Amino acid sequence: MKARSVAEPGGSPSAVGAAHGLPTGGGTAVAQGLRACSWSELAATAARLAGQLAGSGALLGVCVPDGPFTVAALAAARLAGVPALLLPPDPGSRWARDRAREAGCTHLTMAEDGGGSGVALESLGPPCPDGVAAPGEPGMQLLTSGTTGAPKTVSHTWSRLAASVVCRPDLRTARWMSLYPLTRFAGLNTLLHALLNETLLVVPSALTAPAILEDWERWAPTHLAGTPTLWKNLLMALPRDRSFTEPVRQITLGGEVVDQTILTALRRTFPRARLTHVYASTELGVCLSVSDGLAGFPRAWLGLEHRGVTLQVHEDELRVRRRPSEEPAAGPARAEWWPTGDLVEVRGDRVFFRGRRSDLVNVGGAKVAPGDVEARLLEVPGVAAALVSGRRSSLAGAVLVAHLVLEPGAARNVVWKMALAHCQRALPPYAVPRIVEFVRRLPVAASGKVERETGGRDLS
Amino acid sequence: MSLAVLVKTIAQILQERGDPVPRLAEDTPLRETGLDSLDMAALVARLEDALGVDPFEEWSTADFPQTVGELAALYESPLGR
Repeated sequence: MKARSVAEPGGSPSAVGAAHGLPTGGGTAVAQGLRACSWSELAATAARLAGQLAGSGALLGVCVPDGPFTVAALAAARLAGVPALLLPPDPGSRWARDRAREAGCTHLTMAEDGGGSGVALESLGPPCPDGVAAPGEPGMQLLTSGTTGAPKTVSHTWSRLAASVVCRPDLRTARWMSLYPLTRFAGLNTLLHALLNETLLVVPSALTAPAILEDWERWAPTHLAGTPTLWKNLLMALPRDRSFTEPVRQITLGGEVVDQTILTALRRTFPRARLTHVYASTELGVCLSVSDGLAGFPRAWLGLEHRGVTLQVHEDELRVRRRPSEEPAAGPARAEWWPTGDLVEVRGDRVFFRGRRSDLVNVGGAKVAPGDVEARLLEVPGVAAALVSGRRSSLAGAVLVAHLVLEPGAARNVVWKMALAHCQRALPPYAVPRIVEFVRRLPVAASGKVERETGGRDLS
Repeated sequence: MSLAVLVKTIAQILQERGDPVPRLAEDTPLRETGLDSLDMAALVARLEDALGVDPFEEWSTADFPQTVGELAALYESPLGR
């Protein structure tokens, strides 16, 4: 965290807050629905929890609903000088306790009464022998998305996390809103931007379009970050004549392929906002960020080291190398090329993202990247959003299903006929979707990313 | 499944993309319907959605159905699998 002058310890919550990097005063630190949590409230909760976190070698599990308590628990860990493991809030206390014990947590913070009123600290006893205690500088531990297999724990030190946070005078008037779960790297990054710039963090009560728009109206955020999928759902839920009293200054996208369609749509809706695509992962941290309003990133960036990160394309996949000093503690082996699992295509002077290698669908023996097909579908007039997934087939291994969200007034049969004709021209036969499902919105996973497994089946 | 349901589903796939629908009768060879192999896979998937059954799931006989009628027959009786 940001270095600050050390005040007298003890006594009032604000003094404790000031001593450990939390601003003081009655200004709102975290807002959620009708709830406004002030900096002093936050500091008081953090101090109370930190007081109970006595004892060396502690590892604090944090399992609270996204909101003020997340920030308070992290501040408490920072205050007590112990590392914290961020756990997703929903699966139930039993799951959280088991997961926390497995990870070697000695303490767990959980919300009282399922969320609303307060936060309690529970002692889990000494860590189990197999527990992964974090050596070295205390920091944060996050679970990776775990799209395949069990989620892994990844550690980041506070200093490294803070290093990727931009602190500027103009950002002190910003109001941040995270459309990511705070327990994900991107959500944590947004949280830290608000915290270190000492400005408001708005945490929507739920990551659904209605809940987000409600808090948007109420708290007028200026800096918003979310996945392209969430942004598409939001744009579709926005009334056409919507005007925002507070202009949006910054929109950040990441976590999925950022296509030109969403960039153009956001540019149209928020003409004055800076649009930034951040490419980051829980393991590697922030690898690149592009703000020119175009999909992909400049080809010239390949092979050039920037902020300790070098990018390379190897067999259609993006690889990343991070300078050893810049690496997270439990990240990839030192100074080695790290396969990202993200497929890219170099076209002209630009490198475009095509989707995850693990999302490849085997259609009759041919590998199809759903992202390539989605990009073509999005070029069809009347298509507002598209998701392509493989449906298991007894005859071909898989057949491609297109899940389409139509623009208002577009006719299903007309759009589908155009889409098929367009795909037949632009794609090999095996990459042409053979089945269509029309959905009202694309399915969103807890991470804010589109849910490819569900494929929108329950949403028509 | 009646032959009519199969004929209707084939016609639907062709019409969706604006292809002409040929005369489809019991003895029409499947290769003359205008469907390629992936269309066939999609046809079977669509029929599975409509009827809840995919005869190719545990299909072990050597001969692939050659005509529209033979394909329909696979759906008629569990013994056809």
